[in-house]
Amino acid sequence: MSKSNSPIDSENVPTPGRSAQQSFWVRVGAWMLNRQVAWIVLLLTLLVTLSVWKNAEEALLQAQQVQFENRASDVSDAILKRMQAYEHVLRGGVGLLAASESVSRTEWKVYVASLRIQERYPGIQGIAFSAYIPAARLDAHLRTIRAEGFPDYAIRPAGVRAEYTSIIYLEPFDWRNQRAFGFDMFSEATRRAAMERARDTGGTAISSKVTLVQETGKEVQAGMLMYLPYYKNGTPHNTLAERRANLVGYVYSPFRLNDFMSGILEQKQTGVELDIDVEVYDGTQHSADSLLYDDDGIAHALGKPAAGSLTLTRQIDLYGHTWSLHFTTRPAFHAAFDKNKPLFILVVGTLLSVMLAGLIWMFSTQRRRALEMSTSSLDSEHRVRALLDNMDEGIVVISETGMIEMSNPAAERLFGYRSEEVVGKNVSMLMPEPYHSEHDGYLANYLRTGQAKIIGRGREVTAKRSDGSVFPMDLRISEFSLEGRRQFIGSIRDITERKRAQDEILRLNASLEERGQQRTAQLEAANKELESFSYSVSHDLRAPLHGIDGFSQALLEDYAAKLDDQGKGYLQRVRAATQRMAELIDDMLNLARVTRAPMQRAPVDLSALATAITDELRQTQPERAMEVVVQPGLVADGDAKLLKVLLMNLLANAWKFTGKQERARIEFGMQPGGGVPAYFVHDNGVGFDMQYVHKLFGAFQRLHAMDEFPGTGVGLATVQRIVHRHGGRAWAEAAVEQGATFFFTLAPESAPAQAMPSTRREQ
Amino acid sequence: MSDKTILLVEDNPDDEALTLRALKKNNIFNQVTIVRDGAEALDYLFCTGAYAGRDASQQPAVTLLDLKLPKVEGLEVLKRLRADERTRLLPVVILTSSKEEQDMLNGYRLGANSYICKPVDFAKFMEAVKQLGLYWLVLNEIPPGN
Repeated sequence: MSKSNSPIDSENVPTPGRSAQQSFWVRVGAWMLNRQVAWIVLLLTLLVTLSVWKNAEEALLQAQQVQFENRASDVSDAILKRMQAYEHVLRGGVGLLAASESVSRTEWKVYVASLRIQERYPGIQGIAFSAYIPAARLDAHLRTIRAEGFPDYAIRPAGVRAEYTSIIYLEPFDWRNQRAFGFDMFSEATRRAAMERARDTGGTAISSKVTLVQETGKEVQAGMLMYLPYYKNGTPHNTLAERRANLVGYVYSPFRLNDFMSGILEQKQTGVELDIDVEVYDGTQHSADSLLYDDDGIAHALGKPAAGSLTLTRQIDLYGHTWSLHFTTRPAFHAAFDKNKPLFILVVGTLLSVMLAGLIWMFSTQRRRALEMSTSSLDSEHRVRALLDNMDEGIVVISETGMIEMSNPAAERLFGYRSEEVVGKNVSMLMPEPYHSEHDGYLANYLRTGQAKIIGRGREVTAKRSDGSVFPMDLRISEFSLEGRRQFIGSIRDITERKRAQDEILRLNASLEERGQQRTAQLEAANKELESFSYSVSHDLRAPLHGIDGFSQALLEDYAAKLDDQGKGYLQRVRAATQRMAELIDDMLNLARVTRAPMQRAPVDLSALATAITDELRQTQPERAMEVVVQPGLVADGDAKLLKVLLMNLLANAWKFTGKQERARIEFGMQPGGGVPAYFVHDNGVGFDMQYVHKLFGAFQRLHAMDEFPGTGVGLATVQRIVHRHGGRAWAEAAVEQGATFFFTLAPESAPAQAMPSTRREQ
Repeated sequence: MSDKTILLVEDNPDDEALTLRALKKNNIFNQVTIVRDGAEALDYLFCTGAYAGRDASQQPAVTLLDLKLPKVEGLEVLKRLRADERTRLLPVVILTSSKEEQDMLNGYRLGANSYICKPVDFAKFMEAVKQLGLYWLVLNEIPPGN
């Protein structure tokens, strides 16, 4: 199979710029494959939508605010203008008075009528003149007015005051205005305050909220008055004193606020319902008492503003007097604006965001799937090829006629043929006789009957190389079907080396077995020999001792008279040496026995054993004061007979070496601590020097003089032998005249020995 | 007591002399027949070979049998004695210097009536022989028919 390096790839060397551009777009493309992008886009577009929606909302609010403020300004302006107009009218009245020495009631009537106030100045109740009357001139005044055809004229309210005012002209002099005729406005504090301000400043003044005397009790409206002072013609009124001295009276107008305001507002919004609510308060404080005018009977400034409505308060200055205007938008105001626009932006923007993200998601998913499919099919082909090329096993694929379809490099190496030399040829070329001739028939038989000899399992067969040499191989064949054709894959492994190794192992095993048998036989022979040796020792070495001892005794008995004391002493020594020899033989035999005897492990009650042994020892020397301490309940796994010998030796030693102690003490127990149990036999006897500890467990080794402590020196060797046979360790600790402790374990210590003094280790 | 005989199977003349001495010292004056090996012991007891003419009804009250013997081992002797109807119930005491466990076990298994280990200390040996004579020659009743 040719390598799939496309020649186009190698020719297509891009220019650096283009390459950079390409790689950028490739990166973008790769990035777009990421499904997270869809989420990012959704998030971003939603954020943009929200921001646009928010802006639109704000713009809407701002437009409303601007419009609202414009409306409010319009209304304030209208009020000011109307006030100025009224002031002009009043100034006209003052002018009329100034122009002539005296103005008659008729002249006033004519003047006012000429203004056509009902048409041109709606809301103005009338135009009047109120005369100022110091108490000194009261009677003259009353007479004058009564003379004008009003015989019942009197100043109201009645009473004696220092100064009076009286409304004498009030046009139009209709039924309502006649109610004010003769009314002393100085008698009422609110009016008087405004009048005094006008007098003292020489300018226009308006009053705070009042109830006009014209009111009848029905449809009472808040009222207000505007005053202009009129000084005596030809007199100066530059100073406060002059103004006070020369005051003649006031030209003034009463206003009913509802009439006044509806005049203004109606003029402004002719025929159209006002889309903002207007309330007018006297002064800066908003309260029911200071309410001058209210559009709809609901005092908005005093309650909570309605949801969604805008409010605004303006203060206007009217001739030194403040009015507070409170505006509230009405639903009609807001209705004029297109409130759906931001909502529309929000909904459409969100929809567009979701759609865009969805499109990107779909696009990335499809692209990714497409890419995955293309890369995976390419990859898998490459992978299979690489696998075949790099396998250690030889692979040969044949058709159902036995023709080789392909082979891999490992197969080339195994058989010594190049792939193209074998492809299309019968696979039997790779087989030595008799397989070479039998293969076609075998294959045909398999295809016919399905009886397989190798297919589906593995077998060791012999293969033939191109040079005719043969080698053993492990062959596994599996069958598969490709496009309807049956094919067989042979997987081949050269097992020459394995075979060689196997043979070598077999050979080694055989020789090992042989050697093992020899060794076993040798061991058995040695054991036999040892057995017969100790048997001989037991019988034959002891027999002469009988003779020696027996005849020494016979000599002592039968020839006592012929022997002097020294002779008898020598014979006694002979006998003692004989006894020692006998003991040695016995101990040696015991030692041999503990080495040879078969072991039978079972739980052994060491405590009971130790107690029994010490009881026995006590009986041998009942006269000795001995304290024996045995830790109860110590049970170990071991051979009962051997453990008895072991304890016997250790306890007898302890017994022996405490012989010179006045208060002898022997203790048997187990050392506290984890791990393999370590038992000990402790005594408070003579002990020994630790520098000889290495000799302790050797056979026939003794650390004490014979006449001091008799013994053969085999006991501890026996102990160690028994301990070793159990897989344990034996060691000792002692000091001269300080007693000795012998330790032993009865099982292998799984962990390496803990840090123990080197003196503890047996050699 | 005096008509009861002892058969001593002992190849070691020293041991023989010491055993006889011990018997004498303990005032045991019964007749002691000495044979030197296992084969001779069998001949004696079965009245064959050199002892062909011996009266088979006169068997020893006790046979002191050593184990390590020339020709036929002590245990083999015991085995043959126990295998024969005539000698099956004959009291046999193994008297040996072997302390081998195996020997003791085999001895009893093969039908020894007693097993005595010769102490090296002659005094103790004396005591052992004294007890032995007292028991087998005085206290013990021989099985009927012998």
